[in-house]
Amino acid sequence: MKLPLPVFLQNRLGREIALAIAIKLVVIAAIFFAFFHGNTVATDPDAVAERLANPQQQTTH
Amino acid sequence: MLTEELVDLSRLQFAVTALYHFLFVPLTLGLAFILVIMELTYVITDRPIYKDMVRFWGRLFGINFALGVTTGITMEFQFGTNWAYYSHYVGDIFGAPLAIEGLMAFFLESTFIGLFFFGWDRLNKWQHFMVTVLMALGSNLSALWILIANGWMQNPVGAEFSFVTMRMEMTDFWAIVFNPDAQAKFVHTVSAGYVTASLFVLGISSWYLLKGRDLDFARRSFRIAAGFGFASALSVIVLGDESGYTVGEAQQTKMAAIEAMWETEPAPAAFTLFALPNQKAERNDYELQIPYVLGLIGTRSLTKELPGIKEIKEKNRARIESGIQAVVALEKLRKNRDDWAARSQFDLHKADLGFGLLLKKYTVDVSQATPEMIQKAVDDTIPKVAPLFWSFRIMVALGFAFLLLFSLALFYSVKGNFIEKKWLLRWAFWFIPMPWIAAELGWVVAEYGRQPWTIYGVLPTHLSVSNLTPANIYGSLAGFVGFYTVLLVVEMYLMTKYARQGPASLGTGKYHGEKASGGALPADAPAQKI
Repeated sequence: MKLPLPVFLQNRLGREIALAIAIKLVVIAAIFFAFFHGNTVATDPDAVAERLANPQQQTTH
Repeated sequence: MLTEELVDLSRLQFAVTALYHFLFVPLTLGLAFILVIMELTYVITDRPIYKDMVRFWGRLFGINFALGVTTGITMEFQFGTNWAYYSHYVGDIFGAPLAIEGLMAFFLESTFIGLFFFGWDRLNKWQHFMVTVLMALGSNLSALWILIANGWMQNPVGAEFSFVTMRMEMTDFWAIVFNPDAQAKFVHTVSAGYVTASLFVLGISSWYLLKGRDLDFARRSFRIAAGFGFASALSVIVLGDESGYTVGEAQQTKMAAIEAMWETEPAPAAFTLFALPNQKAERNDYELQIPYVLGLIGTRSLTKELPGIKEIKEKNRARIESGIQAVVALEKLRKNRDDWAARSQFDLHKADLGFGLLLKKYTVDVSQATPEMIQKAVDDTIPKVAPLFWSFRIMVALGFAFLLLFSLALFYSVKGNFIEKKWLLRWAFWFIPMPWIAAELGWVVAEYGRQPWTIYGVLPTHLSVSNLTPANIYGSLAGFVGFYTVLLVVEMYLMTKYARQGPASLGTGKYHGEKASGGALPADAPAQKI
């Protein structure tokens, strides 16, 4: 037996909007996993002190 | 490894996503209240045309909301992905309003938006009206908390740096909530949203009137937009002036840069209407000024001086030199928390810690900073003047153009002959994109003008970014730009499609292009050129 579509999917605009939102979530998640996932930055007090308050810190500009 | 390229790319990515997000926000903020006015008229008069107006403009509101959803989430995620040190440093303060905003957006705004669309057959008209009111309040309250967070970035009150946790800690929640910068920013921003939505309704209604279709529907929509838009355009100018005043108090650097005011002028300072700012020579070419105006806006007095860029730079030089003492003391305290000499040195100079950190761009050991490095850091404290100068002036000019347009629209609405004023209808139609341009320029002034800080006077931008590689940002930036462009095309397509269909898209059988009953023009009625 075929289940009826939810009310908001029964008109064309509802389907278009639902599709747009679903695609958005997928693409944004894909961008996150492709470029940011795994690039964790330590931000405990010592790590931040190393960055801000360490005269021997190695950085390049 | 930190590079200039990484910092610039992270800034660019945030700017792109923020400016894109703000294409959706102002229409949501303003259209929600226009729907409240239309629905209130419906519940009072019981005339079905007002219900049709709520449903039709509500449909465009829904398209805008749906396409805009999640574009704000990517910005919040960026605080973690691209700005991790910023998030640690100020998360204790910044996190609270952001979390409340999330609750407002998800639990109040979204819930009532759902009820707004699916509650027509389940709620009586007063109940549905209350849903619309709560939807409008939800979207505006959500903006309030974001702007409280943003206002704190411009004027960081109610917080103090802890050398133990290496971050800012909240000392006074209410000082943050009632931060004058945040309050001025909130009212100015939401008013700009009301202008955007009013011009959107006014312009589309004008298009129907020019086409000679759905006249009764368009006439009533036009009148509501003209009234609400006039009040909003007036507010946005008055409250923008208030915003200018608070900027003058808390961020004199931004004010001086917006005005390209190099020297401290005798009070009250003149407003520079036109100039070509020459940052290298620290002067303006081809300057045209209006006496007294800047002094009155910036200080609300005839006797208070506004400092010029050169004076501000000298003050900043002193703060950078004091900040060096704070950074050196902090370094000692991180090695030994019981170093009381360092503690007392730190307490003496901690207000200037952020200025000392500006030198980290040029040397890891700020105690060894050379006069050339200090000079570079001093120069950095002034944002690029020309983009701010012009962005601000274009925004203000557009603001006054909106006031003129809405004044005329309201005047002819009251006289009852606005349909004959084709030039006014054409102006309203072609002006539809202008509030977005003004709003985006407003954000350029607010955020670009805050540079080189993420938190003004506290945390420099170059120390706020995560340790990513430029390749990460190039890739994600390309992804966001490409995807957001597609989304914008979809938004424009859907908006244009349903706006062209007009109230006939509701399927009530009463409007242009439907089986005529009740005065609607037939679909093949001759179209007029705009």
